[in-house]
Amino acid sequence: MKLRIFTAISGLLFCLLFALPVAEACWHPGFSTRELWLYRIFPYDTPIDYNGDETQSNCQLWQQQTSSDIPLEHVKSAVYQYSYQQWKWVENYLIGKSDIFTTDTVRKLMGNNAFVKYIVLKNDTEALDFLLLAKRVEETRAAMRDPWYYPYEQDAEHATLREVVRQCEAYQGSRFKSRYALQAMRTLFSLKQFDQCVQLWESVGPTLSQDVLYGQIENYVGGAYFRQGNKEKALDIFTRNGDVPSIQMLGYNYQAAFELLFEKNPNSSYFPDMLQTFIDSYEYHFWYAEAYGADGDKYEKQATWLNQVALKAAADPRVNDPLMWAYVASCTYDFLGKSEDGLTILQQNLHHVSSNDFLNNSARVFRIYLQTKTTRYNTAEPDRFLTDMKWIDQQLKSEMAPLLSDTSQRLKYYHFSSSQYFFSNAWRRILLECAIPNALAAGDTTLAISYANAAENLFVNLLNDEEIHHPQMSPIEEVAPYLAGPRTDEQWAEMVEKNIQIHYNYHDYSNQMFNLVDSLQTSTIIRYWEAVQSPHTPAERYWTQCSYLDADYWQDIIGTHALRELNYPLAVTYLSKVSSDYQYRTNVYRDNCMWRNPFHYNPKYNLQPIDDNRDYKLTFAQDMAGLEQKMNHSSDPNVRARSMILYALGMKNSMNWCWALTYYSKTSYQWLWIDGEEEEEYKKYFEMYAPAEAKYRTQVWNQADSLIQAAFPLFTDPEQAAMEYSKLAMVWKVAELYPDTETGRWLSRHCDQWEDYVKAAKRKK
Amino acid sequence: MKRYQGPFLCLILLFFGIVNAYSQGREEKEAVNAIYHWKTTFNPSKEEWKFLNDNAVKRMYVRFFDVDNDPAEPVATTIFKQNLPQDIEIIPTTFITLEPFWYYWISDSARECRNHDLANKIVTRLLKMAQVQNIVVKEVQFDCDWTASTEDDFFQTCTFARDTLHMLGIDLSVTIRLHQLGMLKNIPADRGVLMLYNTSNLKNYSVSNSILSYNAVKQYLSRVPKECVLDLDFAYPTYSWGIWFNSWQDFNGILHKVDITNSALYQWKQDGCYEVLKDHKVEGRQLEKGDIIRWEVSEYEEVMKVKNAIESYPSLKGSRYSVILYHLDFNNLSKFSQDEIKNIYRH
Repeated sequence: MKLRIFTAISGLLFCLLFALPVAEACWHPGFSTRELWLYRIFPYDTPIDYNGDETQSNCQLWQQQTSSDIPLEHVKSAVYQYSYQQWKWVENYLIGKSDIFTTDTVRKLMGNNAFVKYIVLKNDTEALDFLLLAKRVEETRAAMRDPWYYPYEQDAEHATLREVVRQCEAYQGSRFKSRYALQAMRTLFSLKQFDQCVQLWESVGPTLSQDVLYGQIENYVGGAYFRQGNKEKALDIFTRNGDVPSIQMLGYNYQAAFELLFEKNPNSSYFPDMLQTFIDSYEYHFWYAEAYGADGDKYEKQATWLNQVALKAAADPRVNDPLMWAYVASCTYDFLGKSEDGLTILQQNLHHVSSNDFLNNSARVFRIYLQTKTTRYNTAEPDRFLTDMKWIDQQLKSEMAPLLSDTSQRLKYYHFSSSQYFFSNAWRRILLECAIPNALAAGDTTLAISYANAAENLFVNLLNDEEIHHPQMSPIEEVAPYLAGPRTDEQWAEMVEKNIQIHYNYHDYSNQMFNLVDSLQTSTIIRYWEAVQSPHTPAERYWTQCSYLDADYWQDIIGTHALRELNYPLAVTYLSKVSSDYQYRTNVYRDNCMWRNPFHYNPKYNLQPIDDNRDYKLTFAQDMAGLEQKMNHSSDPNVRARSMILYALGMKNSMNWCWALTYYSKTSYQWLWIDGEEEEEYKKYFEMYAPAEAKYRTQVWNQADSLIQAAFPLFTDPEQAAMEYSKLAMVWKVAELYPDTETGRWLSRHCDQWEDYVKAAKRKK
Repeated sequence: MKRYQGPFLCLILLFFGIVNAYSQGREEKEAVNAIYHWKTTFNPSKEEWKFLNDNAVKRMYVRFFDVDNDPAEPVATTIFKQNLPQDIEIIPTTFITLEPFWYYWISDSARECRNHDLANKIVTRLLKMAQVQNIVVKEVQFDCDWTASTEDDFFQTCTFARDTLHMLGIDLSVTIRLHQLGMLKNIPADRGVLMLYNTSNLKNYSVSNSILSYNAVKQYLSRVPKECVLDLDFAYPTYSWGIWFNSWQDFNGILHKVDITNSALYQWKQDGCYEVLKDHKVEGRQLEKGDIIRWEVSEYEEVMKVKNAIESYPSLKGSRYSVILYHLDFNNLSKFSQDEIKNIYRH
């Protein structure tokens, strides 16, 4: 009989191993990879500035008109940021009318700005007169845009502008002819003298150089024509200058204005920034729709429209940068779920080289992404895939090299959940979203883990900052007393007072590689670990080099999984290779979760600290392996019975209150055997969000209960049996079966319900 | 604007200082017939000009703009399609919403700066607009339905504005709602206008006439202080409007141009309420069958009842008080006979 019981139990335990949740074939990253922003015509930190080119060109023109030795930044600062008052001080200084304050101020300006220094040292009053006039116009127009301004023809603002027009008309020089023309045009426009705007243009326009100022003047003329009712001429100017908002003013909606601009000026400098703006908004909204289940319909329509426009533009022979348009067409295809078409159009146009170096690289990245996504590139053509990924690796290193030169500042470039660097995002997105699922589908879990490890650790390896893997903590002797049992409020206060530092590891136990590995069986993880110890092929060596292969980390993972699978001898094998102080690096230790006694009989009622929580997991594994031996091989049935009970308790507790033995985080789904309705609620959530895990743990729990039940018939010593029942709080059993033991007699004196149990037992008989 | 504001304010001060030095400056107010102009376009009809003339209206409170938002800015600025009359005293008025005062979480000194700046901006703009319209200003008015939480900020703004205006010999008046009668002694203004209209919550379905109800006014009269420390004028309503509710009695809006006599669209129910008989649009808004319009008018008898009650409180009426009608709109004014208007104005 007892042999049959033992055989049945062993069989059940054996079967449990195959009830483990297996997730290899259907793994997904634990977040939307769309938030690894990928679609870029320009680098991330390039500001969208439709006038950016104009500002730059204007500063360059100033350089030509003054001195090419003056840095552009100084020109920009002086021309665009200095106020009228500051230039007035310069004028007063030049004409000898400055007081001490003004002299001091101007000398400081000269010291900081080469443009000002030039004006002063060269006594360039012509430039100074113009700058003063321009600043007057600027400040007056700003005042007129103030919501509190009430326009009145006779007010000071109008008088100033009329005076400016006279000054502009009086200028006879040639050096700043265009500049005065621009100021005159601006001023006449503000005075709503649109006829004079047109007259000025018709008289002066043909004599002006075709430079940045000419374009700016033309825009005002376009506005003047519009207000005169001459829409044709206005439209002609706006399209030539890429001014889509002004085209819209003529009654076109945005899309019609955009297409009209393309028709008239297919190489307008307006397009790159505008296309980037479109792509950014679609990328964000498609991410949001995926992440939050929001409605993406509106953006589908817009993306469809842009796709059509981009396809047409890419094929238009007038276009200088067909790659840019093909890239946009490819991106929009991808947004619309037609990634194969996106790959086709991109491949057809990759032979075009853009003048935008970043775009050339971005297009290559996108080709790799689409190819991996649609053609299983990494498993179908592994060598080419490897070459491409090595190229991305190199680009990432080049991108980061200037930033990482100061080794003391490297940690600030690590962002716990996502990267902000284009090539790092590309690297992760291609691997997490595409390559890993491809490898899993091909049945190569080892390769999938390699990809995941590289995805999550290449960048971290580049930062090479120990703090990421070993976050700071005060010396273990100071910390340990506070992590050896339940922490009281007084202990919290003490820790604060003594400034005891405990920081958490935000990377190793929460990245996507860890999430993948944590969902796999121990045997799979062992296979990976053994493979990376001796990589054979160039590809294996490369992925290994990109990875995080800390022995303690991996062996602890394997040992923990073995504990989870109730394979205690295997757990001992690996956990004994982990250095003793490794557990202090883990978040579960630092979070005060490694002190509960896994062999406690009734943790539901109070949690008992273990005597010594060093090597917490290894000690538990050794104890459980020892109990296995005893329950299978001890000649004393009472020892076997007690061992079975302790073993069962270890099984149950390691899946619940002492979860730190078998898991790395207590998710909100774990239920802790609390009373009544709350227990059911937690269990319901657990079953909803992690059904396989919930099922497994329930099975372990149930099997442990079966083991306990099976243990009691083995007792030959009633005293021991009674004691065990008592420790398990099964007092009614003592009353029923062992009332005449020492335990029974003690209970009869101390238990309020003893009499009820005795009566119930008698009724049963 | 800031660069110009300071010098402009000085110019304004100089201009009005000179002008008012030749006028009578801050003087005791004459009791006259007055009226509010509250439309965003100043373009009175022939009939409205005739009304002003026939009733010897000598003072007109003209809304120049509202002040709204945070940061505060002028909105709904009046467009002058006709010149303001030179033979009627014009009082530039501004309606200030509570938005500019809602920023609680700033320091006291920041609030003071903000209120000072706001006062300056309002005064500067009102006076500039007056200058453009070529009128002599002896008084400006702030209209604000301040609450307990915005009282301090509004009063501080008034204080700053009044100080500036006094340098120019100009008075500051404010509008007073009935529920503010208990606070007269704290108001930093030279005069107040007690608004004897909008006496009940128009959004409340069970109210029968939110424009004016003697019973509603009566409740507030108990708060009248024994001694009135602020000279008051009194404003009475002459307008009418439709308060629009849906079939669940939820407030939807105010309608000014609804022809409630159209029996094909509206059916009288009771107490001034009409039911909408079929879906249609009014003033661009979609009315649905089953909606209710509570048509409210300024009843002459009710106005007189309130006027008599007010005038029976000696502490309320100063020796010289004006009667002001709200507002200059012939469609509404034509519903009163000439005698009725004369009786309302009589004081």
